[in-house]
Amino acid sequence: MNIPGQDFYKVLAESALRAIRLCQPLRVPTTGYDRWKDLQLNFDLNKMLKG
Amino acid sequence: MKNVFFLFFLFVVFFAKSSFALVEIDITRGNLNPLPIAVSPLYVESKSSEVLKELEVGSEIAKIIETNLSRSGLFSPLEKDSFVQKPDIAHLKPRFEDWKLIKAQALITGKVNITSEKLRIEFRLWDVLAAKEIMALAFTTVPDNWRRVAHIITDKIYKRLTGEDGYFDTRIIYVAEKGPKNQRIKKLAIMDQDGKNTKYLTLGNELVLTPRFNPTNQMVTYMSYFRNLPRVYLLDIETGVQEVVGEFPGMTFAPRFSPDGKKIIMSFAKDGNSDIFTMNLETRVVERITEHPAIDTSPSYSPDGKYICFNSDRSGYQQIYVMRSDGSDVKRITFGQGIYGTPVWSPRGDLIAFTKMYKNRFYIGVMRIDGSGERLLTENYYQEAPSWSPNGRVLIFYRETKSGSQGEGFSATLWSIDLTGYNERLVETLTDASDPSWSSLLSK
Repeated sequence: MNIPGQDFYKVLAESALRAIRLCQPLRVPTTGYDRWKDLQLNFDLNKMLKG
Repeated sequence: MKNVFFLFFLFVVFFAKSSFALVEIDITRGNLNPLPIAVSPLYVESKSSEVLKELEVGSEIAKIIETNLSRSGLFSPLEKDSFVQKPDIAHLKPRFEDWKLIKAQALITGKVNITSEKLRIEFRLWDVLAAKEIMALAFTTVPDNWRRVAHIITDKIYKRLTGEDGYFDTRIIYVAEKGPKNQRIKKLAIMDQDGKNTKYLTLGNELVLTPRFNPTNQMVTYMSYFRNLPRVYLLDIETGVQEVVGEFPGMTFAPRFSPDGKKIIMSFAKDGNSDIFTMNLETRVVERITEHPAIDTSPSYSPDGKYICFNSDRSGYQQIYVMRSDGSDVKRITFGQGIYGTPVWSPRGDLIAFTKMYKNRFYIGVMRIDGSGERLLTENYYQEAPSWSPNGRVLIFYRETKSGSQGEGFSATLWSIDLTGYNERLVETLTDASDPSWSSLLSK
């Protein structure tokens, strides 16, 4: 899905961003900031559709 | 499948792929709740001399948009009582914190102005959580067109937020019914998809059945009686001119247009046998498509015009078949229990909708074009004849109630259901109604 320009990409990306904003503020560990300061979020459409 | 695009996602699986690497979070589930949306009443500019009229139009337009979005099942419009910001201020620049507080994720604002018999409507769509405008459009039209503009605006919003075309600026043609069951008066009627602006196209002197739009929504083909014989008719909606289709020496029925609108496909019955024929509306050339001693009927083209689905009792029971549009390569696609009828190819091309009867109950369902993946969406005492919304997401059909021996308690109503099977709605009509058919989008 990670192909800009596809019909549904924009909608999906915006929906994912909404989800992230809704989850804020995130509850995160109080230690180890260096380890989790950068997060990579993978929105896996295949698994969602199977679920 | 497309539901996923309306979701906000939940953090479900949280793990680090390695303690030293970047932390990755896989989000593997979504939330299926409809998107909370705030539709602010359209602000009316006070400069106009017709303030009162505008005032009504402004909130009426907001109501139509709200009803459309709500009926789609994908949006949940919020109560206006909870809105803090005034429509005019919100339209200029919303205070996103206020809208976030009432859980709105999207916001629609707008402005109406009537000057010199022209109606100008502008609207904006805002992403509340991202705190930005994501669409802004304006329409100028004649004041009488205000309902249609509300539907067009809904289509724009629906497409912007879901990625797929809407189906709100559309019309439904159906058979309006009145009177006792054994003396029903049936007229062709046309209305907006929300049940408003009903117009009758025939007087009710003759029985009418199975009306279908052509691709440009200007013509309708249907079955009526001519010299006591069921015949396929063609009607020009604007001019009201009707004609019998072709010179068939027997009954013709179950008509539909080809996707290019150039042909009508229908059943022709003679001496107890029914086969499928087409007639080219330009050349008037008639072509036989099936030739079988069984009853072949209810043909419907695939959107590319290359295939036809139909039902036939050639196996002993009525089942659904698919063939090439020249009649070759006939394949049976239904093998489940019960009998199948009224197959209709989805405008997306991926599914066929149908009516199924099993153990005296009627079902509306969908399946893939090879017959696999059958899903029954709704069950009832009697219901049939699904017709697709132009985006292939919703089906409209009709339902009849059981009546007593004198016909008492009988009713016929239109219903819609979406592909999830959870969003079933009554479609309100002025009279009893049957045989609905959905137009394509009026403005593309």
